[in-house]
Amino acid sequence: MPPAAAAANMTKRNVPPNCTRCGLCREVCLAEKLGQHTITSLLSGGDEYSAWLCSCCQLCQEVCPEGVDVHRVIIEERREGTPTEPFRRSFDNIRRFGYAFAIGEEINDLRAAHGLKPVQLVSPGRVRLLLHRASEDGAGPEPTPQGGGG
Amino acid sequence: MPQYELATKRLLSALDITLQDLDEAACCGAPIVESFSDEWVALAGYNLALAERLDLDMLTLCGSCTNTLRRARRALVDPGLRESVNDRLGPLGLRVSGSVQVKHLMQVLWERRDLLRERVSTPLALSVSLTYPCQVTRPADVASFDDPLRPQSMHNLVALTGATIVETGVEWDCCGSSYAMTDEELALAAGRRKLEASRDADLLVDGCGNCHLLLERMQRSIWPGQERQRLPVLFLPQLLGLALGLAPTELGLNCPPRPRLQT
Repeated sequence: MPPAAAAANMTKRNVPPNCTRCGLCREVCLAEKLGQHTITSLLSGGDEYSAWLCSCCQLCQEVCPEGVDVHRVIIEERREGTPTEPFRRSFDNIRRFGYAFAIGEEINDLRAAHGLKPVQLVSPGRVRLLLHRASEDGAGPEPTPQGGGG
Repeated sequence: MPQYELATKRLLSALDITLQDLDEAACCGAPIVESFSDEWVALAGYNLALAERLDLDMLTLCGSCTNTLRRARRALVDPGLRESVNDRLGPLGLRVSGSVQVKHLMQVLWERRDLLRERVSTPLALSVSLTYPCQVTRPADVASFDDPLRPQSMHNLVALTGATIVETGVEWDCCGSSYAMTDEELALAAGRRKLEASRDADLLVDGCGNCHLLLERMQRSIWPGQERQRLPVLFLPQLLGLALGLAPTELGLNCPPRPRLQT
């Protein structure tokens, strides 16, 4: 999704009161150096940005003279916005199988080829127990068996 | 990436450190789950609880996992949050107290640097540029390791091998690999920036699977059709392992890296 489109459903209410819009965060941000606009544009008074472009390197937060919890702002913005497809898919994989990449038992074949011992993957049942939300009756469709026993 | 794990296990074994695999470990929890839900702490807490049950500290190889698990550990200091996570862990026979230390490989190696220095047997005649796993030293109040903006531990570890370090000016910057989740061209541009800055080096060393994914695995996309520009990228334990005289195959390397400019 182009950053401008992702920005459409963002608001400025997540900018913390201690942010002075000094712009230091934007100066150090790699995405900004490469010509894109991420959360540091919002914190520098800009309107066009995507919270999903952030790599979470936390450099902006480290240099902030006011101690703004920039990571918190990013997370709030993301939860109010529309995720990019890879984020949505990775989240779905984690909820269903416990891993961002849809790995299964075949990972142990790859490990064996490198002389590594097999690992026991987390079971989908465990993941459902850990990630269920109190507001939900379930955590989505039943996962198909993959990556460990129940 | 199995080569990273293999090299890590072989190198740490050579430094008298025994590792135990964490069966049933899951994804660390952030930033992907965190981007959607507060339950990321439950997933991170679960992983911490697995190590806690074994009464072992946790070694991480990825910058993001390191950052996530440390932030979860910090968050779990809150008694209310800890109890709510433990309510979920209870049926699994697990409990998290936050006692487990989370250390990235770079930190573990830093703590063993004296032994590492003693055991270097094959000094490397290579010029090497670096890219730090950026989330290992940030945020400073959670990481409590090295300088958050200009860390030096990887420089000092690589210097022990005898290799010449090529300063690039971008070694402390994020690699940009995660951008591929939103804008692949931006990730490739970030990778190109790192690789171009390393043009005077024989190879680039990283310490994170996410960095490696971009800088090594996606290098063909960074420089399409320019195969001769390809820069070897090694994981930190592969380079250190070579200096300890370990065989390339033991470190997940098909062949040893060679200086590019030999006349």
